[in-house]
Amino acid sequence: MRVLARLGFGVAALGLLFGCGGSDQSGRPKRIAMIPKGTNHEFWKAVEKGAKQADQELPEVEVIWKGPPGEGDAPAQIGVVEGFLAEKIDGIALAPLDAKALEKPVRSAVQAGVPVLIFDSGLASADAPIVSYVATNNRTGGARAAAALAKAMGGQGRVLVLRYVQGSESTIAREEGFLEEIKKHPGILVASSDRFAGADERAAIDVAENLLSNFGEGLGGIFCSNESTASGMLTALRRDPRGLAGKVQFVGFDSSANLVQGLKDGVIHALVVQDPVGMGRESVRALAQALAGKTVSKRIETAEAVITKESMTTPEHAALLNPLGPQ
Amino acid sequence: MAEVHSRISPLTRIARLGPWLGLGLVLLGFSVYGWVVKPDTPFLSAYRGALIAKQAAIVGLAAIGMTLVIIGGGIDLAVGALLALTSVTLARLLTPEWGWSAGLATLAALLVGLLAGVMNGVLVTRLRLAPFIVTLGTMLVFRGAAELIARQSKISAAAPEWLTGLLDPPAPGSLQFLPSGVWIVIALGLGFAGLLRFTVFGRALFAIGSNSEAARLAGIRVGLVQTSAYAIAGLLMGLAGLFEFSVLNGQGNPSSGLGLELEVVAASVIGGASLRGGRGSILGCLVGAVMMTVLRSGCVYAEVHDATQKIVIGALIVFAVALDRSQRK
Repeated sequence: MRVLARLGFGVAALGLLFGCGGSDQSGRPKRIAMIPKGTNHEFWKAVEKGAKQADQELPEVEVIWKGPPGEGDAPAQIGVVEGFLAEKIDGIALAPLDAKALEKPVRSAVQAGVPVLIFDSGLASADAPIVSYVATNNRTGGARAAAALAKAMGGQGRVLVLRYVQGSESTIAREEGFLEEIKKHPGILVASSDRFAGADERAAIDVAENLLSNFGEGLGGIFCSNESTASGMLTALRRDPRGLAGKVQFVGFDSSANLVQGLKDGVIHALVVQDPVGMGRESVRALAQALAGKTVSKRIETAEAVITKESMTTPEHAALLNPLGPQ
Repeated sequence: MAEVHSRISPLTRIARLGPWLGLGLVLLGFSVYGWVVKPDTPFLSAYRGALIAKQAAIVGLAAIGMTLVIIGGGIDLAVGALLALTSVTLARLLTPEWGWSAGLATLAALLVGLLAGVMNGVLVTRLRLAPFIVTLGTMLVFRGAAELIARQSKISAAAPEWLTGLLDPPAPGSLQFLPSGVWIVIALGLGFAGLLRFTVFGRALFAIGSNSEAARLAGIRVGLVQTSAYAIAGLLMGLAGLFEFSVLNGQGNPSSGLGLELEVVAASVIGGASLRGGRGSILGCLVGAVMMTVLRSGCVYAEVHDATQKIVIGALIVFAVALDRSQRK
């Protein structure tokens, strides 16, 4: 049995090498492997939901969802990609855990005739031979947060930016997008933008408290670039003895039960959220089109939305705040 | 002025004054900065005092245990992971799914901390393994267990005010002045300082850390005393888990306390503990924890850049270790 399996494996690999995998036979749905960065976080569960929706609406493809065993483990993700190549997959959609490390398996997949689509975050080199890159434009998201904050502040006052961690591409793009946009408002002064909260939420609370104790008086607005940072700031604002909660305009990024409560209570003015369900759906649709021989746009931007207390109950925004639906 | 030329090094002179001097200098430095640069908002205020005490509470609590372990010639690298384990245990038991009462869940979290500490102690003393390696291993074990219990996401749970409010600031105008959790840390600090100074256990711990072979020959039960130190450290991390749950607003987070061990070791060393064992001070390590918190708070106050702040705190730790060495020569 083992010898047979090896033989089969070898034949499949050869078939892939020469690009005659026989996947063009009509009738059989094409198999798409969708590889997220992890499988535990709500964000990825929402991407999976969107991918499954597209799977249902498109009979010509079949989506196989498989993540690496643990988030942050790039070698394990490379192993998952290689595993799919070995079993003669028709197409791959990948959210690379590491922009550089995953480039190699992507190139070997394309060489073997398997089209690859990248979603959520990009590869290091811009000329990677991919079908399309489906992701939120984080820079635009940051800029929209700045516009919302500036409007809420009436174009006047001092703002505070609490960053997430060094080296995190997506949040840095949000922070840079925010700072670039806020500069366009002459009445707004950035009081501090060099603090990183770190990945630990308690540390984020400490930094937020220190910032508020120093800049709290006369502060007009606050921006935090991800869920844990915004959560930490929310806790610090709620505990502030001067009652800053609700007085200072506060815009966060991403959503969670805690942040939605803050929005409801009026402590958070707006949340910028991504559309992970849309990301999953668009990725599968685009890859299905490419497999059918149609041309696909090289860059597909999934929408981000600015959600305020007033808009949070509209069906569209309620779905974005809670992408997995009532549980 | 004649002493300047004596054979005692100036570093030793400073070291003898202890961490209190360092804390005083740091406080004075930021206060002077405040008087000169922003006289309207002085550095020291009742609010900042309460904030610093609150922010230093978890590191301080862990540092008490760490100092006991270090005095006995060991080290405990698992404290950060244990913080995560005890806080998610507490949060999980409080969820409707388990529905434990706050009192029972608290006891369970403390018990988990105690058992984890006993486990560290037994592995170190019975298997005669290096404490550095043992606790490096149990660090991963505790972290993995925390992630299993939390199913790799945060656990939110409702709890009564005495638990969620452990580190909340007291009502304005009340005589309590500091959060109740901070008073607990101060009381424990005084208690353990007394324990070290006045009991047989304390003297035995110092003796073991200085020379465990001599201590054994003198009839001290080395394994039992060392294991007790790890057990106390674990129990204190159970308590710290309650604090973490309170600070996170009624949540258990499996990634809590990443890198905490380094900060706790630093607090102990700044407070006068020697990593070679046989030396250390409980009140000193609390001062060390407070000093690092003051530096962090002060760097935001003085608008020191985030990166520069790290360099300042790092330099302080190296300086404290240098003092430690100079005193031993």
